[in-house]
Amino acid sequence: MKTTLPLVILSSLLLCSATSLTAKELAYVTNEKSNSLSVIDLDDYSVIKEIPVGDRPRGFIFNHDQSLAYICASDSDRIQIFDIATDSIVGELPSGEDPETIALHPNGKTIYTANEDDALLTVIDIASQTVTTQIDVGVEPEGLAVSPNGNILVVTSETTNMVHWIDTQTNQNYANSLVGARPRAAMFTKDGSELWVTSEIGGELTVFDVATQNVKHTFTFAIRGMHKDRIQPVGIILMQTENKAFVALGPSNHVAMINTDTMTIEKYILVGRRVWQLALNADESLLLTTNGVSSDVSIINTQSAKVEKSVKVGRYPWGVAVKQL
Amino acid sequence: MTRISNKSFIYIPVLIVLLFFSTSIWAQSKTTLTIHYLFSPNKQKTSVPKINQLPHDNGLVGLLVGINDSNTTGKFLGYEIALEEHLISDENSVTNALSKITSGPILLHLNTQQTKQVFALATAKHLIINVGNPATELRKNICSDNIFHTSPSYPMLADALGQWLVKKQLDSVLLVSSEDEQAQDYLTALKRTLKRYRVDIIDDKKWTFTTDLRRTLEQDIPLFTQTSKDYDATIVADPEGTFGYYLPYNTYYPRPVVGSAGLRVDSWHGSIEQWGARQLQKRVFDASGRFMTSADYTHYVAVVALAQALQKNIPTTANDLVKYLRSPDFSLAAYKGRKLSFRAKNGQLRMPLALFHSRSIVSQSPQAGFMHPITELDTLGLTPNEICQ
Repeated sequence: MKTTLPLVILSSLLLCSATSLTAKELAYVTNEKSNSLSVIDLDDYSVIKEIPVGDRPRGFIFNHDQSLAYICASDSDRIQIFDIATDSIVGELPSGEDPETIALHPNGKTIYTANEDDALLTVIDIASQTVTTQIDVGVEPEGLAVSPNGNILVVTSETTNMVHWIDTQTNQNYANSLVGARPRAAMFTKDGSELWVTSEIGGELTVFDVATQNVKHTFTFAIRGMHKDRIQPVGIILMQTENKAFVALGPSNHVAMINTDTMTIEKYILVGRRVWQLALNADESLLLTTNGVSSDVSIINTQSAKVEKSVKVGRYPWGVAVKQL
Repeated sequence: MTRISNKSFIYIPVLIVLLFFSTSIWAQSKTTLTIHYLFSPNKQKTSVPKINQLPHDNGLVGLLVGINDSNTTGKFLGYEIALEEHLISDENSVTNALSKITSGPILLHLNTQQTKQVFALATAKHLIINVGNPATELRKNICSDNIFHTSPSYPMLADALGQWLVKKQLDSVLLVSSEDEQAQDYLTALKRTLKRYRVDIIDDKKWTFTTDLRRTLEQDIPLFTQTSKDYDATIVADPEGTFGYYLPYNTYYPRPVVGSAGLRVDSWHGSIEQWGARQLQKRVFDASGRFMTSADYTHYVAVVALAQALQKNIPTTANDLVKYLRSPDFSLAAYKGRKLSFRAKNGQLRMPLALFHSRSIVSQSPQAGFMHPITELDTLGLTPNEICQ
């Protein structure tokens, strides 16, 4: 025994370093209509498990150390706290009715959720599991983003066609900007100077100057052989390590790749049907897209801009996030 | 200030209170647009079974939810939409009601006769939107810049159905219609569609039964629908819903029944949940305790079209609103997955139409493959050379 124990420790240390070298990653996907999470192993692109969660799970994010995830179980009217180690729901946060999307403040202490049915934005304190406040916003609030320095929160409202700018210190709405019809997703650039917002029915991607809330640039999309009405920008993601952005284009079944230096659209990548939300893995070599109608996830190589694999998941995949093991 | 509401119904009175007392936190100076709503009581024939009767607040609920949605946005931008209802009855004629409305938008949920009266009396200071009447003649012979229709026309409904028949390769049909004016209007539209899409009419039968079929349904309907040559489908033209419901599962040949019974077509159905519609359905359900109808939808769309003009800072005079709604800049996101807009010639709202049975959506027209140089949505309804020649 005396000799074997250090050996065990040594070998387990070796194993640990081996796994961190290969950086095994798992993608978590919420399935809106099968009330479950599908977990994809990004080594071999196989679905390793499907875990039942609350009703109509949509928005999904990790906490900072990726030990927990927060899931918007929209039809259960709550945010569920999911423990990654045990694959089980370990708690709930009060969320207001019908939480759809969710965002974490960089301080890791505050969560924001959009209550689609009530035209409200709920601010939740994680430690005390209480609602700090609810802020009146436009009809059908959807996309959420917090600036990298944590000072600004934005929420888009789909039927009001606005971006609402909120000061996170005071929780006061200090500005509102009109955008194209049915704004969906929002994301700040790494330096926090720009905000990118997609408008689904307007067919636009608007880039705001954060300091002035002025529009700096507007993208429209064109795919050969596709009527422009079918090109509906939804999910958006900006790479942190490269000057690239990706935009999911809904029922056109394509993802646009944008060069953020030249502000030009470089490529349209064919994916599954009704592409919805996007996520990158840790080293940003892979882009994952949830495809609602075809109930699969497309895994795109961000360097070659080609789909490596389509992975069948549950019904109506919605949210997606990648965890590093 | 924790305001987590529970799932209690906000019935219409509550909604109305909200409409008039919602405070505007952002408004510096507020613009108010008053919408006038002319409607006549929804008198349904006693032969329509209770289960098929339309709700008493059909359309009005869509109007109120539309105003509430618009005023939520208005809070941030400093505008408000107010509503004035005008019930048209023996005591309050169309002429009388219009004499009190000097200007502004007027929504109509009236019969064809009354609608034409309003069209004739309206001035350039009015903006008229027909939100509830599908009659062909209102789109075919009347073209005026300030007249719009959010209700789909019979030719649009017929084309939506015809495209589905073509897609399903149902090449021959039996037509059955009642003799009332609406049914004949729908029938004419259906025949136009069937000719365009080359679908054979095996027979064209009139429903003239005066007996009560509740007891003899299984004997009489197969006989009535028997033809010497087989058909692929039966089309019923019975917008008032007085007999069509007898036909499904009872026709001589076991073929689908479509039109006013069986597989129906309209602007909306309670089972639509795509394109964000689930949220709209919920707001309507919370306001009324029932599912959203097609009339609710056409009322809703009329309000949000006007609200969008306010969002874009268009002045509230009828002339400016008309110009905006007819401009190429105007397009509306309205839970159909496509942008909606108005046709230039007759002010008809172009939109996809739903095909559904009582419990579920089945399809949406235009069907893939029906092409049009401007937009596929214009494959539904009258073509420009059929309008105001």
